[in-house]
Amino acid sequence: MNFQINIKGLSKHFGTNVVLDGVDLQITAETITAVIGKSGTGKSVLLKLIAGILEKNSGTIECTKILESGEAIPISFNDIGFSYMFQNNALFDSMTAFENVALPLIEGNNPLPKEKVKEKVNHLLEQLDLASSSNRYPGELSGGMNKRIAFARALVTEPKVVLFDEPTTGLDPERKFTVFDMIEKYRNLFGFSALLVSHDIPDVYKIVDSVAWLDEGKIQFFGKPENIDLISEIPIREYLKTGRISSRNL
Amino acid sequence: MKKIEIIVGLFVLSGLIGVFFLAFRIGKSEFIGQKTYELVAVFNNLSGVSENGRVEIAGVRVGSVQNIQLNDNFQAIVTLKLPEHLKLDDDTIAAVKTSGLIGDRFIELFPGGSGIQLEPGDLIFDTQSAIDLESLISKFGFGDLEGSRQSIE
Amino acid sequence: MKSLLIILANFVRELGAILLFINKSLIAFWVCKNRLKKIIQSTLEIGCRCVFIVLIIGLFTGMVMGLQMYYTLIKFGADAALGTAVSLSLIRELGPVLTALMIVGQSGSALCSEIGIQRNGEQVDALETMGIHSIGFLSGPRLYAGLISFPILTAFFDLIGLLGGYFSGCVLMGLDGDIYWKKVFYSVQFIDVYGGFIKSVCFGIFTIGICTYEGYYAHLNSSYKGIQGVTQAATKAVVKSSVLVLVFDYLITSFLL
Repeated sequence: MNFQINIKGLSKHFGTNVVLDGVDLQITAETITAVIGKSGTGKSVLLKLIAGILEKNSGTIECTKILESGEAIPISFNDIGFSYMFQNNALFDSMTAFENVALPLIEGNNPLPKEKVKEKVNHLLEQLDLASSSNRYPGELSGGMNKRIAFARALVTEPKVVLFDEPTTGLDPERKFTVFDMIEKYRNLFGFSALLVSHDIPDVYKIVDSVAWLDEGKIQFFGKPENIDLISEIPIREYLKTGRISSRNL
Repeated sequence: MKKIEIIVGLFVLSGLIGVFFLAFRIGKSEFIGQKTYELVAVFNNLSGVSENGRVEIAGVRVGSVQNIQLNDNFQAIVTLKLPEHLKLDDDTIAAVKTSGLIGDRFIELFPGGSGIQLEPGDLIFDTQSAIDLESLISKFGFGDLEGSRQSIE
Repeated sequence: MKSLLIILANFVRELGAILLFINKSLIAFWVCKNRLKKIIQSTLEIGCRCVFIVLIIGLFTGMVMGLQMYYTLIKFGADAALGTAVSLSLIRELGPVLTALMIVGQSGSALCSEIGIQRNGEQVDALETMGIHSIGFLSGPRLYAGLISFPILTAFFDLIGLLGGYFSGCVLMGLDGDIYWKKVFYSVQFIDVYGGFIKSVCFGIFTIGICTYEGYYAHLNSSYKGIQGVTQAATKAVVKSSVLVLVFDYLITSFLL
């Protein structure tokens, strides 16, 4: 399915604290976009607004489905089919890995029959090297494994858009690359779009199609990672390239 | 899951038995759907009888006091709720009785034998009001009781 | 004076919010899947786990009542009325109230903190992103389980309390057991049992409602964040439900009498 998501003028404030002040962003099918920026600039808030977990103060999120004939028809974000991978995984401690992954299939809007769920979940767990721990609880498994369970839960509904909230935070460098590889691999396999909040500059650039730099409540730069080199202001260019804020320059 | 289902099932089953035991055995509720009818009686003094109070025949509870009101002659009108199968004749006497010396007041019915049955809503003519211990004692003290005994004789 | 008004306004607002939350949970539950399984699971948590404590408390309440009433009534030579006194006070008042307080202490606080921790760990948000109605999923089954469990546990409490009264009054103090049971059966009317169960159903719905509400909004209603917010929410839930149990007890009693 070909689609386009247009975010226009998205704003959010908590009391007097303005977090987002007119964010414009475009997401197209089967692309990975990284949202980068300093801590506390509202990257996670942006994702939560898109997912509908938080209420936006103003702005629009317009989604259009593009048919093969080229005709564009409006569609709601929920109908595109999305999933959200939380920063701290948000797995249910009282459920086994299998039950956690199966949850959206059993309890969601389009429940599947039992055998179908079993087959699908087991297949996915196998692909993610989790088959041996499917009957264990999140508390008994390592952080990396829990990340993969959360990843499996996000993918099991075959979503068209996956929102990743800092999927690599708290992982050691090897696992970090494993997660990035995972995202890229399954993007190629399932063909979803990803919006990825990350602090891992520049490692994240290896898998993304475009970069959105969020600062002071607005998207200050949007483009391909290669295009960062074209930015004329040196401190910003250096920051976006290395992820380091040089005290000399800023 | 199986074990949980059994535990919860046992819990609910034993609980329902408890609820029904309380409601129907200890609470002696009229079973739902049991048909009742009403009779009316007028008393000069109904002191101590309350709504939902007992109605007995020969010491067996048969019904309850539905409603108590005051009429224009300052008498108490009582509506009694009785089961439909309980047929009473029109010379039935309704009396206010006391269980024990300081116990509850209730209404005791003495069925008659006239052969004419009371219909729902009918009035029981013969009533005996509550015995007023105080006036009984004062009557005894002033000799009034003596006079009344003589008149009976 | 002004602060009193604010407190009153807050109380009314909160009461309204809780009622709306209960209403929402009861309705939203029906869009969830595997409803029977959820109700069974919640009944296990709320009902079955409290059986033991309710039986213990009920037995000793009945025994204390038997003893106290015995010593009071024997002064008037009315010790035959022990069955009446114990059964009426148990079935009308103590049964529903003490059962509700026990369940709040045993299960209410636990389920409040469970939902609070899930809120804290973003599991509640995760449910919403999966297209699962989080209120119906988390609060709905527990409310229905409360509706089932409260009257049942109250019945357990009443019955074992009557046994406790018999034990202390008749077995220990030597009253005639026959008279005790005769008085119990004689004096309890259907309206008493009915009133007791009306109370327990009301307590069931709003105590569980308050506990799930406080847990669900642990992040909003608390002045603390994180785990401290959850513990605060659990404390608030227990205090509020306990106070409201007694307030509602008075209100319902005054309606029924």
